[in-house]
Amino acid sequence: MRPVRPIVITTVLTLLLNLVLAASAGAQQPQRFLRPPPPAGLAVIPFMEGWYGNEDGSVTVSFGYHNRNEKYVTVEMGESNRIEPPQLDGMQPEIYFPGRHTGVFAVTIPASLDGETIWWHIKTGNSEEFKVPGERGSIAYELDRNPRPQGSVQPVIWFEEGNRGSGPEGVLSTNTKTVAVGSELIMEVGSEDSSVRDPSNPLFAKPLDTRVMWYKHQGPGEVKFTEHASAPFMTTEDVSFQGEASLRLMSPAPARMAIPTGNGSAKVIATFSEPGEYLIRARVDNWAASDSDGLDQCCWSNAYQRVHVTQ
Amino acid sequence: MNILQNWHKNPYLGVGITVITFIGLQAGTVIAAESEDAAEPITYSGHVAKIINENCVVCHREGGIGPMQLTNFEQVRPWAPLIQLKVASREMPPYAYDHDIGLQDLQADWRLAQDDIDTIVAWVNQGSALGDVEQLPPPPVLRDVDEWNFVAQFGQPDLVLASNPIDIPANGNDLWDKHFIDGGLTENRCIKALQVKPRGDAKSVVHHANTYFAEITEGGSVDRKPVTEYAMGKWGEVVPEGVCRTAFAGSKIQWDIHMYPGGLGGAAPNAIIEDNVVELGIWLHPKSYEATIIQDLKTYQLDQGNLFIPPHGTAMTQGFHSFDHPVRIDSFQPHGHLRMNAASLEIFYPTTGKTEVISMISNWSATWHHSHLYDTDIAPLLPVGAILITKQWYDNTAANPNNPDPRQWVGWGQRTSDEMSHSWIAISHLDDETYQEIVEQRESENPSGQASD
Repeated sequence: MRPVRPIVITTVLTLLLNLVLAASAGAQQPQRFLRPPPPAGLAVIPFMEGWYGNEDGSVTVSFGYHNRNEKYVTVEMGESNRIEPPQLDGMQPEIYFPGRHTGVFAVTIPASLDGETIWWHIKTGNSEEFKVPGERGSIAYELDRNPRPQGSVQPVIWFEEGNRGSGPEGVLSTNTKTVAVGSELIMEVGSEDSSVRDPSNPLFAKPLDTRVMWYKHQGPGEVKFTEHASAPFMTTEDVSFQGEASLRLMSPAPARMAIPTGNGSAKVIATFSEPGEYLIRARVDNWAASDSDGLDQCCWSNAYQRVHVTQ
Repeated sequence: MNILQNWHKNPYLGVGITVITFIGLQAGTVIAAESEDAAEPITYSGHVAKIINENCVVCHREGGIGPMQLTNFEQVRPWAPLIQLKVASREMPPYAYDHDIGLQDLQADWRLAQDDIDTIVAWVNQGSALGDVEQLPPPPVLRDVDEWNFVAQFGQPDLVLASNPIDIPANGNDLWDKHFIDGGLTENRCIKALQVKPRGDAKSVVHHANTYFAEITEGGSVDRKPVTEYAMGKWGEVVPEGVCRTAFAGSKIQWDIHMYPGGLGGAAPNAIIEDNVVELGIWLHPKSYEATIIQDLKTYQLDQGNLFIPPHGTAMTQGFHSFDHPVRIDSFQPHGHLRMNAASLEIFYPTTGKTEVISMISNWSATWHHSHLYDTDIAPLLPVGAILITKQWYDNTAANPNNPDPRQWVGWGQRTSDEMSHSWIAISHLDDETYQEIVEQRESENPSGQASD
């Protein structure tokens, strides 16, 4: 076989490489604008936080949002707030509190639909519709449920014994509470934290508390959470939770309390302003730990309780 | 230039700018350099080997992070067209810093001189000949790939502080390992240089590894001051002579190590890494060293709380900072993740209304976080009232080759798939008298009046 001369190899390689470079050079350079300061009435931004591959072949996609306004925004379920395909619709919030909120709900794509892409569409008022996809996608967005480097894990959470969950997808109660408008409903969430930490680390000399936060998730009226005598609310001055101290972007719910050592339950009193069907979310997080906060995508769990409010 | 040996290199300002032309994609000459002299034969042995040995083999060698070895002609020859392409476009060596904007006198500057680029371009265009083997320079002296970067200048570090080992999985969520180790100092000392070094295969999975002098209060909170910052690709830091950056005695060292399972870039192992350890090397001045100027390293934010990059879109952030005393900017290191693609540093002087561009990095990449160290005699001076302006740009379109998913909204966050917007800047804090002395010294050395403000 006749050997190929080096100059021929050089020429061919050069041609190929420069074709690539020429194509790249011809691509439109993105323009770089100064962004104007944001006005009021900004649309809620949806975030696909990441995806968990499950042992049964399904994929759980975690979603959150950022409300850039100073007040909460309501976007009812329906055309302006939907998950596609429609059989996976239903767990997204209708009320959006100011600031960044991570892993507010999750959608599990069953194994039979693995490979499909789901989309969360949200349109705030008259603004442009925003949407984000979720799927078994880029590894840059892959999440896992393994212990973090200092031992934090997603706490186990429940509203009813025998129906426990963890992580952003958490658990949805099977029963529905009933209460009249203006009457007090005592809600109790239970949690266990199996995080194992090194007691020689000065920050972990004592077992850490977990934190519960309460949110209205869906429903037509206002929900007011007031303190139950057994579970005093935490204050903004409480800096034992590094998440609050370090993440100014995150807006902790006013109704929040500690679960000492991470194991036990916490009660809150809820009152509702209008009749209808509500969904209440309790989130238990491990944000007193240095390896756990919202933008690290670990470690917290959601529990959802349905409430039927009568006149 | 020799990356390993010439820490201080002379500037290559004003050298003719190469014109990279595509001549109809015809065979043979594709990239032409202005200074190419077709009559002069350019050979590997006589011209190119020295350039590659001094600038490329530090990574392109057995055990190095470069994807191919370039330690001899047989290894270099097959890659000659790619080498030409990469050096002509200034993608290699990987030191993104605009050569025609702002201050150019940098320490640890990996950029090739324009003459060297022209030589390589001409060599490839002429057929990439070996030449006379008698002219070959001595083989490159290859140091241990795990050797400290400043050994040639300063010897072994005076203090080596290792993180606790941790296993890093091959995939999954980013990890942040924050723990404390003993600091090892019994009295305050002045730091001469610092390097943070992930061991072995961890180089492409350690996204950042920051260290802090930390005091833990009785209430359990942590009061901390930065020791140094490391992000992927960073070479290290050198503190200017006459300046003290304090290593605090009695403090613990807090490690804050961000790991990206699987890794990032061409050397990503995509495998489990067991017992990952990151080391902090500190070179100290002698105890007798005296300096009245104090330097610190801090992050300067760019309104990153309002960083929202739409799907298939772009964004920009700005930060403004001023000081109540004169300062000197010793180094500038912008920080971002996969969507960030450019950064700049400017100074606005309210007394004149003039804005001066100090540094521009138009082709920034998350795989090479360089701390741009200004030569001390030109390091920018800020009088009281001057405003430091930092800018960063983001590209969430499919045109960004690093983008993991252009369909997503991207906001501020610690994960590699989220974005950040801040700069690490080393500042020498001056009093009025010292500031005036430096200004007068520079004016006497540069009477034509090129000094700022």
